Amino acid sequence: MSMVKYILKRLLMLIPVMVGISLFIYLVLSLAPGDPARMILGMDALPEDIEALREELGLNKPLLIRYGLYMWDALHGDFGTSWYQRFDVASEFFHRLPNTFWLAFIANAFSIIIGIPVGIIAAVRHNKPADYVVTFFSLLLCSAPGFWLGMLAQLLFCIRLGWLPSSGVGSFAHFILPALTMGGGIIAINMRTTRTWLLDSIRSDYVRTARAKGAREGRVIVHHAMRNSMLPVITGLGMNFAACMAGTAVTETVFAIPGIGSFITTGVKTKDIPIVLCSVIIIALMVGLVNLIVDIIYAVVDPRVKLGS
Amino acid sequence: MKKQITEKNTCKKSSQLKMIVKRFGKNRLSIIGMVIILILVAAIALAPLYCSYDKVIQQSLSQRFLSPSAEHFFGTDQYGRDLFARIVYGGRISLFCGLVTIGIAFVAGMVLGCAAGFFGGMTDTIIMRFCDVLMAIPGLLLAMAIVSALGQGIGNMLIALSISQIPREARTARSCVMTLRNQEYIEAAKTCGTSRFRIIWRHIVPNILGPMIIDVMMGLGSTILRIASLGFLGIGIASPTPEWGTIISENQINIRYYPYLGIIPGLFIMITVLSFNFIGDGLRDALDPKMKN
Amino acid sequence: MGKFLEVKDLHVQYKTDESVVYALNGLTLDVEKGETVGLVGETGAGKTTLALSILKLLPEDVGKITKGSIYYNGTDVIAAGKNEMRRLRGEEISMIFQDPMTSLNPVLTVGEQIREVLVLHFPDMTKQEREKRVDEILTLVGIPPERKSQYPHQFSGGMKQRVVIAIALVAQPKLLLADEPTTALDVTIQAQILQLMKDLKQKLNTSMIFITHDLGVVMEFCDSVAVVYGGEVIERGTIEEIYVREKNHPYTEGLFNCIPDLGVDTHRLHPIEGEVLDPTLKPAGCKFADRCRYCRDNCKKSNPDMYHIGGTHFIKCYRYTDGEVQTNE
Repeated sequence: MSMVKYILKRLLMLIPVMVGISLFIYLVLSLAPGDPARMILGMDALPEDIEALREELGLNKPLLIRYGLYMWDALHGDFGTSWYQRFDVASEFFHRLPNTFWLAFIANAFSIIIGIPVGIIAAVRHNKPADYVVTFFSLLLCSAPGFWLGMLAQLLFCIRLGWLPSSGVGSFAHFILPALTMGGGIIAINMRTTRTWLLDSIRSDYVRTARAKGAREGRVIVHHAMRNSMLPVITGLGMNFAACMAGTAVTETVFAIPGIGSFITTGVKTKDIPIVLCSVIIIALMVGLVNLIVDIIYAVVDPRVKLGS
Repeated sequence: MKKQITEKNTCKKSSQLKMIVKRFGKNRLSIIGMVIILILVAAIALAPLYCSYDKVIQQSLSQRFLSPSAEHFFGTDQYGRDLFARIVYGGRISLFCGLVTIGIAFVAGMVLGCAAGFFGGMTDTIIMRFCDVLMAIPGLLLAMAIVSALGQGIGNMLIALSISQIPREARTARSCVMTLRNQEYIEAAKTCGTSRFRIIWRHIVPNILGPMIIDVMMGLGSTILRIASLGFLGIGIASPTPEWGTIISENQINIRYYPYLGIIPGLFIMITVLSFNFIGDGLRDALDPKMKN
Repeated sequence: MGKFLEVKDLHVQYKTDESVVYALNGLTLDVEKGETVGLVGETGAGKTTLALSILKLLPEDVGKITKGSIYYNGTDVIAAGKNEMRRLRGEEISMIFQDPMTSLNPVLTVGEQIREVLVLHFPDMTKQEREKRVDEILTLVGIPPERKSQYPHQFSGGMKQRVVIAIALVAQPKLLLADEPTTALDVTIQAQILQLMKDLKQKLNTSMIFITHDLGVVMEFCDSVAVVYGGEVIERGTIEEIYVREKNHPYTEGLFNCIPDLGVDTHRLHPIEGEVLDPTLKPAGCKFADRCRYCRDNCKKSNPDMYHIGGTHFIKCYRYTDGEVQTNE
């Protein structure tokens, strides 16, 4: 069917983008100063040992060949070994992935469950107190640094009130504050997008047509205005996921969650290049796949989108 | 006759500008944002006049964890450093880095976007595919990766943040150019034998400035947030140089007993970003009244 | 309340941040049962505003009825509650909107959008009956019923206009407000649609307000004419009374002069001098005074009344009061 064809086509289109991303990141990270072999073995290592390790890591080959070899291994699930702690990067990544996945999942769920209904209320009560309050708070949420909000929430709910665990993982309760921290920005984005586009819809000619038919205001909003105004919100979901992924680093640092964000942060801080390389490539792939899913949802909702063209 | 026409044109131009200023002035929030930013910039720029840099880094064990008072407006931190001084001087770095990043992204994005949109074909494909690649990686992660390659420091951080911001600006510029490119007046200019450079400079650039400036204002807020995030993670500006995110990070372990150490610098970040967003909103409404909701 | 539709001294304002637009300034209009009134006037004269006022669909927060009354079949529309209005809309009064491109919901099928009127107003109808009615109305407007499962973007402009008409007609309303139903269309399709509406009118004895700026269409299609200028009806009469061109409002005269006449050997058309009245102004006198070649002192001082010319013919102009009455030279 055309849907299957469309998905296959989009997956194929993802390949060159992934090649581009991995090549770019590989080249940028290869600029890192210093000799990895010397870094691993320490300052007083023997030159022979360093040379042997260079050979082992393939550091003596030309850059593009090294990239090719790296990608070949990566396709087989091998993203190399940490320079300093000698563990397998890919297995550590996938070991930590579930924590980050649930975090991002819950954050996105919050952004939909909270953001969209509140945005609808603001649009329906346009220019009334409820609208002003919602608009102001969404602006505030967009403007505050996530890690700061997280810290304050931690201080209030965990330390002062003792309602929720302050750090680590283990239960759903552990995820509530981190997910709200990570999702704060995207909750605000969903509120604003919903409000803006629903208002746009409510003022459109086709909603006037619906009113002229004698439909109830509730039906006009739900049946006519909302479906159209949800389209931009759906488009935004892919971007929201990417924003979540960017937010993992700070959120996981605040709440001491052993996920991908803290993994990358460690990698960047210690200049453990394989960690950074592996994480960025896989996250980019995940963002690409999420965008594909979002586009498929969009195509299902909007009849104007023709698959395959 | 000719003189009359030019007079008429300048008259229209100034009234258009007046309209924009007038509409912007009607938006109370954007005026508030503007005032806040002006006060902030003045306070930061004039910092050496009323507060010496010594206070920022001078440690004093006898002065640790002092509560806010007349001598130390925002109190002192665990090393006895004056928080007010650290925030004022930290603001210099946060705002300066934000402006430089966005400035680079604006110019580079404009050049790339115009080139891609106007010349099309191969130029367009190469530039835009490159932007696609950069945009597929979440901005902060891309900046982190680049910092890890280049090493820490203000210069490297600016490069990293600019690279992650350029594709966004390039896209905005390109999409504007694409809609303009087929407009009749561009066709008309082409028919008159106007050179490409002149068409871009005289006809396209002025028309995309509006959307670009709105974009840049919004981008400024998110860039300041990114700088703070990098500082907080300890991979941006390194302590003891003050930067708003770094200050929060330094005080993170102490906020349990001294909450003001964490709350105050965060408020500064939030209010600054909020003000830039207000200004951006106001500009959008003023430049494009159709978009107003 | 003998009349079918009675609009009296209606004032409507649009308030925006920057200014107040006086869209209707004491518009008065009666429509009889089964009558088709051609509402003629320039863009911005207030024609669409009148139609939206009758349905109480003026843009929220912006448009407001400030004065006057609207009675539909004895019902006070302005005082009517939400439920009463919902019953009137779609079932009793329906509107054909001007722009078919934006008036249809892009994410619902054409069939759903037509069927909705039946679902809302005839809840007792069975599903089969509804489908049958939808098929019938589609056939009537010249769309194959098989296309009802398609979406608006799959239709051309003319076909969309037919869908808009089908939505307006499916419940067989007693009053139809047609807002320039043919302006967006090609001339050939225009003729088809007009013929279609003519047939429907006869079949259903529907009253109609036909908004247009095409005097030719009015002559062919309507029973009577109301000329609108500056938010007021300035001339009202049957087709014969007005088209005979013996006594006309100076503005109507101007409108006729804008139509090329093949019978007469003229070298150029005679456009009406001056510009359309700025709707943010509210002059004390006649709205047309600035552009009128018969303008005299009292025209600028006070607004003339509607003067009875004969039969059902009324003109709002001082020329027809104080003995100056003269035929066109």
